[in-house]
Amino acid sequence: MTHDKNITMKRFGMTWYRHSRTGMQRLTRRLIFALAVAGIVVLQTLPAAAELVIDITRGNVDPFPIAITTFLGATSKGTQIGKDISAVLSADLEHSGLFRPIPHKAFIQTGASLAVRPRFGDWRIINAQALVQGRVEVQGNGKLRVEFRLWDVFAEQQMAGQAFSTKVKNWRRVAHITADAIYKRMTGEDGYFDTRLVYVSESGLPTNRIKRLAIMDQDAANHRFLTDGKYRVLTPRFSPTAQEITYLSFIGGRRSKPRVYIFNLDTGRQEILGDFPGMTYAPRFSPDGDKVVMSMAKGGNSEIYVMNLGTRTVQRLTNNPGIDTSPSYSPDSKRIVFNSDRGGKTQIYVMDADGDNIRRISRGKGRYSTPVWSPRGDYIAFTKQHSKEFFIGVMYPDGTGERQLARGWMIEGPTWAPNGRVLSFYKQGKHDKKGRGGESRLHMIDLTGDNEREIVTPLDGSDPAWSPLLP
Amino acid sequence: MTSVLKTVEKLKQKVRPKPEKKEEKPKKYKVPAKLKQSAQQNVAESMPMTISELDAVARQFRKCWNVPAGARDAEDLLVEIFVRANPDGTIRQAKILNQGRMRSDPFYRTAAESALRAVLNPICSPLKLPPKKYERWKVMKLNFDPRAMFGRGR
Repeated sequence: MTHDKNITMKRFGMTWYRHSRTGMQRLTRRLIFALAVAGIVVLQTLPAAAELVIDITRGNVDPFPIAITTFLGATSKGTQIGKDISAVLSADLEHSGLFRPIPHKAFIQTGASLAVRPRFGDWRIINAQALVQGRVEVQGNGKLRVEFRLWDVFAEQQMAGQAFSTKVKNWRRVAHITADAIYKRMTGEDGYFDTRLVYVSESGLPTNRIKRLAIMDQDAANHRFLTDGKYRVLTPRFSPTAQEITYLSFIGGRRSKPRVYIFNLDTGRQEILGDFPGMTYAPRFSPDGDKVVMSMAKGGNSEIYVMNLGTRTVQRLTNNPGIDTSPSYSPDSKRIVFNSDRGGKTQIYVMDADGDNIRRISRGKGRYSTPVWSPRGDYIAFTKQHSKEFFIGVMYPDGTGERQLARGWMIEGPTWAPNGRVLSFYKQGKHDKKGRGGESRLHMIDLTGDNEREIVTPLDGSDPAWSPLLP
Repeated sequence: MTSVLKTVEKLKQKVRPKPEKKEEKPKKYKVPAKLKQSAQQNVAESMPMTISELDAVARQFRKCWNVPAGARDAEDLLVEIFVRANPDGTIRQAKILNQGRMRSDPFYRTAAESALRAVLNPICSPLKLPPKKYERWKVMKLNFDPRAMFGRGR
């Protein structure tokens, strides 16, 4: 090391002489060089001296302890909104299964002193690893200003901070957007709280079900019906890019053939996708929202077709005597996963987006259907029927790594949250001979198979579809 | 298993006496007590850390290292933390070594911050390290590697 240092010094000296400076400059430069070299030496010895290396390969995946304080407001209205925002934000993070909000009664530091600066020692004592604080201001013009800060308690540093300005009535969205920001900062992945679910709301006897299109926030708030129940609706699917839903409806009465429609949430307008010679069903948007891929049945045979929404041109992708249906694009739009009974039992197949290169990917026992490609691209979710039971499972796009997340007497229809970490599906109970029981409920589950929860809806629900993050 | 352990114990006992005899020889020169003490200390300091001593620290971090869920299925998230420790096992300084990647890769940043939090977590302080070998561990590198926890196919 010392030897090297001398060489370096000499080299520096030579360079310096070439420039022939004055004596004073020389001295100063030499001093700077000496300091610089000393600095280099220190920097080099730092990691070199750290000879001892300890490998830590095990940690825990317990929910992350986080303190979410009540957002402070200056007026009574502001105080109430602050309380409400904290509650919604806290519920979002807790429901994700990744966070454990610490009960408020454990807090040591409370009130206005928080706005000055957190006393990190007070938060360390209660083992809060992160701290969320915020402020709410209700302005004269019906506007709301909300700001929040996320602190790393151990490192005593701010990790994130944002301010939003919006109408007072949008306070719930502010809470969800804040939850998404915290989720993203803490996990590295996009959140999914500022999203909605569209689903089929069901009521009435099993023989005469009324099926309506309904929509709600992912936390079941702001529920409303989109259709009146006069016509049956099936398989709603969200556009990944716009506030549009494609679905199947029997408009024109029970005996009319079902057709694919598009519903615009902003305008409330519904429009028929096209008048096809056969029955069209199982529609789904492409990732760019420009196309709809679906099945069309003609003469007892179903093939997969894709329609360009701009030009309204239709192209057939499959050509096989078996029933090909439930198509779903990969997020890069290059491939399509679908199910087919071409090999006997219903199985999952993947093909190129132009219909070439079809190969079967499901390998296990039972029937596989309703495949859905994760927006993250890493998994395909499916429904599996085996030994009088239903499963919701996932597998890699090459068919490996299959695992079941949920099981039940009748569970079906997985849909991905936009971040590809959480799934929703529906679960139906058995009904007796008199038609009692048989409730159908929406559920959510983590990709790990943990943290299954029911989404409480006013009536029975089936066939949920998750929206992208709201614009 | 017990019998194997016993055999190992016996072997150890057999091996031990030899170096003791060698050590006894220099006694003739009457080494001053102070010098002897410092020599013994030097011996302790020069002893490498044993695997069980390192394991104890790794085990200690299990309850403090809250591995971010985002690390699931993500490859290559090894985080190196440079640590200076006090003689009592508390942390004097801890810093993430790969700062460049901290800025460019949000998954890595999440993983790195979780590792740093583990080091700074009061539950894991002081570190369970042998005080006699302080010279060995006063400066060290802790490698936090989540791969074993979230391999593909979990």
